[in-house]
Amino acid sequence: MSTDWEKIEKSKREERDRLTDLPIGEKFRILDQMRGRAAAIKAHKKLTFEKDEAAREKG
Amino acid sequence: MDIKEVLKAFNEMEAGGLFTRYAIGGAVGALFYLEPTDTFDVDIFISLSPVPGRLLIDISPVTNYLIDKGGVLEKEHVRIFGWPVQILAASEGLLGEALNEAQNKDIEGTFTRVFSAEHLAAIALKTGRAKDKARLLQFLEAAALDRKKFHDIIDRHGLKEAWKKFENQFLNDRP
Repeated sequence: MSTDWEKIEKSKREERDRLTDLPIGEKFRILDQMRGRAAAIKAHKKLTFEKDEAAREKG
Repeated sequence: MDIKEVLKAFNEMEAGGLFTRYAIGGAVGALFYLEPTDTFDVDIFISLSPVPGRLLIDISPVTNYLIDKGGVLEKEHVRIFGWPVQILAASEGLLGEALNEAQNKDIEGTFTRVFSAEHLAAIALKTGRAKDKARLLQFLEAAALDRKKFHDIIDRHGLKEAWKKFENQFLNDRP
């Protein structure tokens, strides 16, 4: 089975066009969600790092 | 939507004469023309009237206004309504032109101004970091630029060489 890259690229392009054409308010709501997720990932990484550091210190 | 509160504060400051004009640039500016991409902060460009006898531009009245509204200074940003806001003075050159020619926009009833797609693309070409090049490619792939207007801008601001380099690197498929 071969991968149809053209088909994949076309479908990605269509999705990007759909997102580009959204009303600006809707785009900002999507951006808010993205920023919320990024902040949660950052907080999780920080917590994990702190836990690892504490465990390392305990030996 | 918290960005509207940020923009309302800038509308108030402009109406109050703290600066003569403002507009959104950077990744949030690009959002008006492209699909949403994650960004950490919002870049807001302002033009200030020069103070006679002073060489440096002082943006502290703007930061102080935002702090009075609950903003907090964080390195080069003021964090307000959940957004780190970077305030940048733009009085001449490419940024000054971008600010003068910024377009009026409406975000669900809130007025704002945004750099044109062509100015955002030219600024991305000029700054030239990896993320700027990626944004310029996005503008081109989305056919979001008036090519004549874009090329007039890059000619006017001495960016022809940068464009040739970018074209060779990304568009001409040449090593």
